[in-house]
Amino acid sequence: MEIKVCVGTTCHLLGATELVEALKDLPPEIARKINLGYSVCFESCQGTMRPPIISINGKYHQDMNPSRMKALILKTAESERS
Amino acid sequence: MRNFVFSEIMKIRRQLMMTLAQMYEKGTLQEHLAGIPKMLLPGPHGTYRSSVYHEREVMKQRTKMYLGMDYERSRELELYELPSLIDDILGMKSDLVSRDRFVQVIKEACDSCPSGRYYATDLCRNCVAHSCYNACPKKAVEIQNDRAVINIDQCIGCGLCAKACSFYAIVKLERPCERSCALQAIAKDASFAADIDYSRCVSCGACYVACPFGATESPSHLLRTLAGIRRGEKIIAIFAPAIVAQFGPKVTLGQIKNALKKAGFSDAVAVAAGADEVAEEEAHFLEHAAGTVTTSCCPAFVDYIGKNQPDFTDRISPAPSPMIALAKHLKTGTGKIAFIGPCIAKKLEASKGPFVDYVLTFEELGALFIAKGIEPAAQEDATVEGSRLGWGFAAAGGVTAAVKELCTRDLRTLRMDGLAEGKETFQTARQEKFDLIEGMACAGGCIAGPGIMVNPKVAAGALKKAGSAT
Ligand code: SF4
Ligand code: FES
Repeated sequence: MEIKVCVGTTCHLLGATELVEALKDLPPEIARKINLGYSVCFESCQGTMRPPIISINGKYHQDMNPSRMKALILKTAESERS
Repeated sequence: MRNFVFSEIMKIRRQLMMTLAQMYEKGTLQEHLAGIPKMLLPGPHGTYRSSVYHEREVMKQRTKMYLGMDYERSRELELYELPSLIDDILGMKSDLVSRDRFVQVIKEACDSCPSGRYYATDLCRNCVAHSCYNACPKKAVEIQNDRAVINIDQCIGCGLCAKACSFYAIVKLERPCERSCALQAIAKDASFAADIDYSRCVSCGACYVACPFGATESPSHLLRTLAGIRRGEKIIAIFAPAIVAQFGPKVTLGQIKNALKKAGFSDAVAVAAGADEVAEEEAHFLEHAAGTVTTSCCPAFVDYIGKNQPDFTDRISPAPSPMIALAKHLKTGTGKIAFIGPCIAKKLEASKGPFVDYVLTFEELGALFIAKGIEPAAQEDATVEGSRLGWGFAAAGGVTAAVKELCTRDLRTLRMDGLAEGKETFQTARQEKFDLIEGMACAGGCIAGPGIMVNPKVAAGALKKAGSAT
């Protein structure tokens, strides 16, 4: 699974650091499958989407917080397995 | 050192700062100002509180403070009345501007949390021993409907019942703001809302961090700085050493420096350079000083001494704070200085002298970058001023370490790490002889200040690598 966390200034101010922290304590069997990267501004925070924004396998997800992000990752991991 | 947890309060604050700064830059602030609460809190249901009207009212008050206005003096003003006043407010010509109070309670936001009482929770098992009942010297505990109930009229708040309970069923009700304030500066007004006692308050910002309703707020210099840039003022940005890691681990200090210049500041210089100078001066002074000297870099600490340990007032270091030391060098005729740091008390310090014109927190700087469309991570790197010792000022123990290293004499030092340690520190200082007392109002130092964006532990790690070798 390809995950990119936006660490642009807008996302940073609205909680991206928390997401980066939260990614460190995923269950190891999930963490192993993740290819994690950081990105500068996705250019979608001004108007179209609500930051903080991450992308999972190329699809953007807005208004992330640690629990919403974890739920999304688990769901994606689940669908990748089946 | 405090823990740092991102919260909805930070989100509300930052979103509002960003919105205001962006509108100002686009030139649409006057037009859209009155609609901001409705825009950010669209309803029909409350986003953060049960009533959308209540949260919009709070945001209205917060908006005025972010424009730099004094809460008390502007409380009755509606946002739609502001467009004609805004130029005077941002130009500091209006008496609605806050000049000496930088921590204020938004009464509309204050929940008047219960405090000073004990409360028996439903963990009570109505045990046979009835230890709480027996422990209470005032017979304030009653057993009703199979559980303990504390009669608040009789309770004197001694806490003996809570200590006696085997199930931890009795809790002390405390206001988060009161608990956070080491100086008992939070009182209650006639309607029981929190009320700051300015004869005790040293503007450390602990209650700004602590209040879970975001009721404590600080009038901002953000828009006035943007207005200064727009007027074409030559403003030199000076950034505190606590800025390490604030924009994430990938952004270097040099990139921040360049981002500041791109944002419209005429230059950007690290306050660590001023700290180096202060360390030299203090070390030099201590070579021959007789008697104790206290540090002077933390304005809340200096204020604390004046208000609580007056017999040490003449012991405060003759060296200026690093902010002032550097600003003095850089200030020219019509030029202005903007200090960027983690601190609220610096706003008050700046207001007392002619050297620093604007004070921004890191959060506000973030909003400024966003409004200007600048990504620090996309800037080129540069070298920054200041030695490892000067950068070290940002964490508790840093000033001590620097002065000790520069002084040829062996120094006996003492530290007050956070205002809560104040009483004990000064008691010790009266009993034994110390050369240097380092004082930081925020436990952990500036990296744990009220305006930070990253966990102080992360900043502490990054700080070790900042600054040139000496
Ligand atoms: S914690 Fe906040 S809401 Fe509660 S009394 Fe203090 S200022 Fe008011
Ligand atoms: S800063 Fe994250 S999308 Fe713009």
